[in-house]
Amino acid sequence: MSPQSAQQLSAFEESALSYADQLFRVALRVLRHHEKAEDLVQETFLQAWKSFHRFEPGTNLRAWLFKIMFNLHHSNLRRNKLQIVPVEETVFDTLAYDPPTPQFITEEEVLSALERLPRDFQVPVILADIEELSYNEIAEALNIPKGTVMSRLHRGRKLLRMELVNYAKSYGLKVSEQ
Amino acid sequence: MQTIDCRNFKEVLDSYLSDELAVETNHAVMRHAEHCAGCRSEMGARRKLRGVLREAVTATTATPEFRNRLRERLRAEASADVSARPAVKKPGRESLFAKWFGQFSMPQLAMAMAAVLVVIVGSAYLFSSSNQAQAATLSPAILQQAAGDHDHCAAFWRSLTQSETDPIHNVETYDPSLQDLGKHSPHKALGLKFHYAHVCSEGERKFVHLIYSRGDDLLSLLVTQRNAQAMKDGVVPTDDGGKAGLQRELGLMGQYTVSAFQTSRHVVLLVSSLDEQTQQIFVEKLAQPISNLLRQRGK
Repeated sequence: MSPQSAQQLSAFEESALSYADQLFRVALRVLRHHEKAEDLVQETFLQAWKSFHRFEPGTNLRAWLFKIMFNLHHSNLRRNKLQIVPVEETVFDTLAYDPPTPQFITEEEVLSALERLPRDFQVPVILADIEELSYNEIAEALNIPKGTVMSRLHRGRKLLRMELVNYAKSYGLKVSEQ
Repeated sequence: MQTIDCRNFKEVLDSYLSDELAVETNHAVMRHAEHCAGCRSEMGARRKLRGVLREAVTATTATPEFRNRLRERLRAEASADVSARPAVKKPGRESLFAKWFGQFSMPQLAMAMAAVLVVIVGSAYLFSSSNQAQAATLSPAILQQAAGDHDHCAAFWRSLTQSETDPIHNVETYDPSLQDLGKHSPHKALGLKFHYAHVCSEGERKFVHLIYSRGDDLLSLLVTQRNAQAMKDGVVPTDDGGKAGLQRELGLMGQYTVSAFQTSRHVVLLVSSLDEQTQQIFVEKLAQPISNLLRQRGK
């Protein structure tokens, strides 16, 4: 390796690899498969390394990495014949109704509720409420307008709460039947 | 002084917890919580939910073995000669891109490459840096807007039962020259199901949106007016009279395949979940006839 490459690589490792955990846990939520998530993260870093000379220092590295990751993820989906689910119908049903959030929620319940969210709403919730990306960063990472980020986030949070309420209800019902 | 009721409180509560509200609304939320026990309890529950969610997800980290593998892989990649550095690949990916690019001439290839780069780097300068007139035919913004939320739009309208002879809603106020596109579209011969046509907007731009499906795939045919100011500024070349068919641009925008034609007044885009090769069929058999129709009408 030339000294120049070595220097570049250490700069890359120092800055980009610190986001490996964040990318991995988001990939894991989206793909729900440990090895596939590792593959996606690896592919993301290799792609990022290849394009690192195009990255402008001072701009948002984390958003850039997420953007690469979601582009790769989307092209993988396309290759595997993406199925489009008419999410709007679910959303329309829930818009008017906003029940109280359950007071006691376990990590297991919340993860399973998160998994049941439609992909388009799940990802903005993960990026905003867990990884704390700004609207602009999410818009950048997902290639969607900021307004769309805001509306999906709003609906996604609401859908997540609805999932938890439904879970609590079904649990409550079982208990009362016993 | 701004005040809010319980319903509004619940609407903005998530944004409050994320510190996304304006100062004034923030204060209104706090004032409401002070006086309303029910909403205070809801605030507590949502805050708790946020915490549990974060802890549950961040409990997972990449394993040290994976990190080591990743470093090794990067070093191997970096050791390769920089100028001859091979592309990152998985089997299948390269061949797909090779096939895709293989069928285009150099300017088209340059445009397609530019579209892909824009997806990756998200910057407009790539387009403006090219001296070729063709490379400026469509701005990244229009592709972004075309590939925006139209699949939600399409999925929603597909679920409604509509007669395909229905006129396009609101088209009169947008652009009367786009009337009855559905009637002239050759979808039947192509085995496409036509669902609905309407006018919708994405960003600053309005689109006449025709929705088709083919099995699970959704196809959106979008027609929008060209930017008159840009044409005046000489950014967009005028219609070439169809010497070589029409201007064409192909690109991948996130999960969509996007193709576009332009006439002297309109841009016709086909946005779908199809793969590039299948898309190509509908570009020629569906988008092109519609573009030709608009050219006829424009004369």
